[in-house]
Amino acid sequence: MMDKLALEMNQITKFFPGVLALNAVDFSAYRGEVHALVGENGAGKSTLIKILSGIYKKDSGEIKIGGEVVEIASPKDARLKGVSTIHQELNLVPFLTATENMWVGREDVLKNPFISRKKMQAEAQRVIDRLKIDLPLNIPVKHLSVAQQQMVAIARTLAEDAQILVMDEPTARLAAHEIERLFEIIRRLVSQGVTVIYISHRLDEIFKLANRITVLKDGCLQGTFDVQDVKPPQLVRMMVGQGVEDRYHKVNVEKGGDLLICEGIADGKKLKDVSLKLRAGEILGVVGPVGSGRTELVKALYGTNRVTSGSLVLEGERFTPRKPADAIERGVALIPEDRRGEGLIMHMDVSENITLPNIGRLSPWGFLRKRRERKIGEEIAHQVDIRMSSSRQRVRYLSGGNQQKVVVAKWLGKKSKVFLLDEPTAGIDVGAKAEIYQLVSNLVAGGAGVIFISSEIPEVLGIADRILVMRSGRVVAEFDRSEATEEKILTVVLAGNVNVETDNVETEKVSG
Amino acid sequence: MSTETFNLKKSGNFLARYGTFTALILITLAFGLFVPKFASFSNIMTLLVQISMLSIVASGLTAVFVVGELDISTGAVVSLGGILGAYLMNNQIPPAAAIVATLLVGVVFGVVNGFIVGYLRIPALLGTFGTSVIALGLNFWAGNGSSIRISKEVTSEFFMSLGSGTFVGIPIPFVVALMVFIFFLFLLEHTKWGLRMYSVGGNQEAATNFGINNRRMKFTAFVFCGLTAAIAGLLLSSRLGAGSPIAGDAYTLDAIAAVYVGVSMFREGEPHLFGSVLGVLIFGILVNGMRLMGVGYEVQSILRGIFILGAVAIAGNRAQLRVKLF
Repeated sequence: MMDKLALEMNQITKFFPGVLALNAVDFSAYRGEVHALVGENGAGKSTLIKILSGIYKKDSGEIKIGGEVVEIASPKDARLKGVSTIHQELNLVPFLTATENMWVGREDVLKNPFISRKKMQAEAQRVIDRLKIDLPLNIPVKHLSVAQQQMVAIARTLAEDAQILVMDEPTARLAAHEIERLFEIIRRLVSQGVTVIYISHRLDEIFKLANRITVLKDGCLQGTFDVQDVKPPQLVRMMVGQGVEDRYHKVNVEKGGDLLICEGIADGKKLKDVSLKLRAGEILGVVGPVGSGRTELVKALYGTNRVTSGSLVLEGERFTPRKPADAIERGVALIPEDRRGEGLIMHMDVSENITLPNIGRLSPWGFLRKRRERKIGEEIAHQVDIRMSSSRQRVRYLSGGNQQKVVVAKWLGKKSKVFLLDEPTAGIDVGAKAEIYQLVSNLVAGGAGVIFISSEIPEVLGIADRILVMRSGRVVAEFDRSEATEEKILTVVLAGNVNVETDNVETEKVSG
Repeated sequence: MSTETFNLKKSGNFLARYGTFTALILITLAFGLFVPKFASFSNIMTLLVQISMLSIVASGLTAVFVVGELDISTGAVVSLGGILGAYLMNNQIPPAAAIVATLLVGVVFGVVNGFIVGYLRIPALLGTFGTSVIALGLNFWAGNGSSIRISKEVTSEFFMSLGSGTFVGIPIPFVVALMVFIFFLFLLEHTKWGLRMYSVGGNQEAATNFGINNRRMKFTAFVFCGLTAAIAGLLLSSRLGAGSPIAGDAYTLDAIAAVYVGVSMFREGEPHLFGSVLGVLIFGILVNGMRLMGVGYEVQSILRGIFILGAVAIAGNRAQLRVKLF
């Protein structure tokens, strides 16, 4: 099946004022292949994809789809030509059902001003059958899990009869077993002749899934390789320009006394019963599928969600956070999962974001001392090495990794003692990840304790001193750094499938 | 990725960013050149008074927009401030006491709005609509269904001078408007509370995670907005020599329009006090100039509507207007 080229992009060049975003890049994909596109943030992946999906116009070069030269004028035009893109934000309408979401924007296909529910339903079912998945079609998608919502987005592109499917970081918010299911679906699509262009920062996934890999760096093509011809370290070297062998920089820090003790805490919802101890200078890794209560754990510790039973002791004193301000007061800092939605004021500049939690202390009598504030913001920004044009740059225009550094940086001026990091490296590139690990190491070296939640088990293995596995709102296993392996952890995580699924809407019987 | 979107939008920037300002200058020049009386000293004094009330209301409303909310009860509270002032004057209450009482009622409306929107989480459009209907009822009740004329025998010089007196040659309403403007400029741009208000409007979840009490910030903004509406109402009744149950109605939408015009100018779709006042100036000058030309109210209104649509369309095009109506 992999003989005919589905897509050719030749000598694509794109300028933005002051930047050459793409420099004569060649990219092609066969029918029925998974072609991975990798590179650091700013390498030009997104630009290339946006040109393909009609969001940007190329400055020069040509695009051929199925051997014919085409001009892609708009996202709709791209869809009509068989190119569908699933962005990280899934672009679903939350209160419409899966069926309705598959039809929104393309009701005209039905060639009838009156929408026939029956026909919509039948079409949706046909697509779902083709994917061989089980998906509740008639409840609003906001009640579905992230993984299920992604299925809806994929189903939507199939309903549109997409020949080329672009997926931008599709696994960023999925748990390990959900990723497996997604891969099955992708393989099924590919076997049906669909071309999948797959963008990801996770090399292990790419090596599992892709047929070929194209590497971009600074807007230039570094090369296209068959997957069996390259090894991960080579790829990383091409992406960052140097080898990053020891990505985690695990430093051994003298552990202090108990910083935080949780005794059987629950929030009356997803968090059932969690006991843990965090010592000063310790990194405690927490893994578990989405919905296991790991995010709820940090939300409870931060006072976003109320703790309904159990007790918390922070530095030897009772700790009852009722709102984030209480937690901040006691030196607890949160780096939330959704950094854009919960961690940053996107239209404010770097310095303002960094100093906001300390603004009370920096403003005698309530009056801002803007110059001083800016100076402090700048100092902290340099301390964590945020790449920015100036501290007045709005955080909206920073890359994901640099945004994350701003979120961390804002707590540094506050001398926080307990750091809660919820998926701090999701969707950021290899180089920036290493810097985040370095930052975390610095935090514990300074005597803080860190709770580090992640879906990437290798990452937790690399950085944590102890690892807790959560499932259905409880801690089900604990590993010391010395005894933990990816296999052991994954075994415990995957054993939780049954329980996890019952949290969602469908109640299917899964054994093992 | 983000830098790319930014650059993409750059093309339309000039028109959007300076379009409103250019329009203000062009309008002023045109009136100055072609309408004989426009640039006269007495007309400029009149103009200053005409824009004062709207400027005061728009200043308070800007704070509400900054926290990401909306207040459509301002007009009714302006009327209430006016009619209450007139009622109290006619009942021989000492002017100082009458003024304080009226301002307090404005604050009470702000408190109710702030409570409804900030703490009960009722959408601002609905919540403040409710309070505006209550205010309207109070207005008709106080005036027995019609205007209250302030009788010349009972009123004090002091009260009447609020609307028509001058202070070192400058009309008092304008002095008050200037003071209100400076107060809000300081509050919003130079204090920690202002920065917190902006962050609540920018991203409520993040602000909460920063330890900011977003309910309190919203509440505060509404209280200030209620207060400014009452101030404008007092000035209005003093100037008209009467309080009318509906005299302030037009301020609701005019102030919203002025703030929206301002949204187009600063901080990429963020409300900003300078922008709001610029909007007030544009509307003030348009109305003043057209009146001098003898253009009727109906035509004025149509032209003003077109201007609002134009300004907001440009602003909306440039950066998504963050301020939502629901």
